[in-house]
Amino acid sequence: MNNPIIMNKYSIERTLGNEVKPYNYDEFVKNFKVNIINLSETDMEFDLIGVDVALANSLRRVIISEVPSMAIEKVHIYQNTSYVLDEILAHRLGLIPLKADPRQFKMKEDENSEPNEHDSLVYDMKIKCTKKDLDALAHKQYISFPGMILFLSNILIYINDEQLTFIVYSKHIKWSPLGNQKDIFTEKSVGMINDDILIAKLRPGQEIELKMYAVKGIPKDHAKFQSVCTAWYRMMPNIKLLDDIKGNDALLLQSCFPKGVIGLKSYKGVLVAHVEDCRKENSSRNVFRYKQFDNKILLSKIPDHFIFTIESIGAMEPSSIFFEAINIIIKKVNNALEIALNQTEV
Amino acid sequence: MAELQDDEDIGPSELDRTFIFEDEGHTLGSLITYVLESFPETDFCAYSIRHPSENKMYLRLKVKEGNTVEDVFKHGIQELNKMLNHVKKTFKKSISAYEENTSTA
Repeated sequence: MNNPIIMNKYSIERTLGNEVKPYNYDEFVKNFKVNIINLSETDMEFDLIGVDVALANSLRRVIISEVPSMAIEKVHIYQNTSYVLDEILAHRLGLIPLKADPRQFKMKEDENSEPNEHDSLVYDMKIKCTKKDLDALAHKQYISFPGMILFLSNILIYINDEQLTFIVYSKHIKWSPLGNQKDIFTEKSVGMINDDILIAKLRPGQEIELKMYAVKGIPKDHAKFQSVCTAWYRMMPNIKLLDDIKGNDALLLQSCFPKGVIGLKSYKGVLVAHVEDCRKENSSRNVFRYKQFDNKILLSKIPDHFIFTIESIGAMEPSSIFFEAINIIIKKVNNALEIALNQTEV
Repeated sequence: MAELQDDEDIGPSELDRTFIFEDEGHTLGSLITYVLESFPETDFCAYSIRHPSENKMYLRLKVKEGNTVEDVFKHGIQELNKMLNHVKKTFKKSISAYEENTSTA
């Protein structure tokens, strides 16, 4: 496991172990480490040290395609006279990220059953662009500030000479509680994550009236159920200077890597390069362009050290997404045992 | 359904079996294979997804004389469970340690 992956000028050299080491729990416990690098409400970067690619990749796959979240699934359109077609409007609405925490909801068992407070969220939107309001407003504004953006009762109106449009944003979608949801949730905890997602534009006289039903689902079925923007890992890079690099070469070496990777120190008036922070290295392999660095630098990757990044959409904290993923894998593994045992009995 | 060539010739036995998992893929396959193939009792272990439109994962496990496929598989799942629970525990500890550090700093 400790054989590094060496990066050459045109190839990657992988020295695989000659024999497979038996997996040993005690050794795994000894080597396994998690370092949290940074953690915010939506982003998280951490190191997984001492694991096999199989585990890192399974985690990534589960986070991307199996951790559930809430999204609008059904739209009842009572009125839509806008230019956006019904089906396109419904699709756009489905893709809007919701703040609702999926752990507080159940998966809908029967697709066609009546929505209830445990498995669904209901949202409403009713908006109309009236000519009268716009005319009055346009006249007034055209005289004072032509071509200006202004707010009127929470609806953004863009005035472009004679063209008047209501812009319908995600903030116009209002949550309507089902059953006892009013006591548990607030508009803030289940509403829209972003207020400024464009849904449609309305001309005078056009209107949209909708009722939306959000359910819990997994991203395998539809990308709108994703709880992460993305999640990925990369192996920890390692740079080794095999020879002293001094003077102008040291400056050149520094310029081959992103800022902060190579540091310079002055010894008796001569600059000497040293490796400062390998983490920032991005495998550009720029050093191989210069002859003077031939056989002086060893670029490699540590195969059991993963830099894992999770970017949450905002409904769940990234650390909770990781726990959800682990729980899903544990469930999967135990389910597999059951299936396998049933197959051996036959 | 087509079976592995060897399955037809020899047939499943105590020492050699192909398990079929529906609705599973590389996520489960690579993880189980990784643990099983590292056991000394295992002779051969690999998984395949025969066709992308066939939503099945085939996992073949061959064990050395004196063991049974069932026991080795069970042991593999136990080890995986232990490993995953350890990952979960360690991660939880790291998160709380990080939060403590940042709140005091």
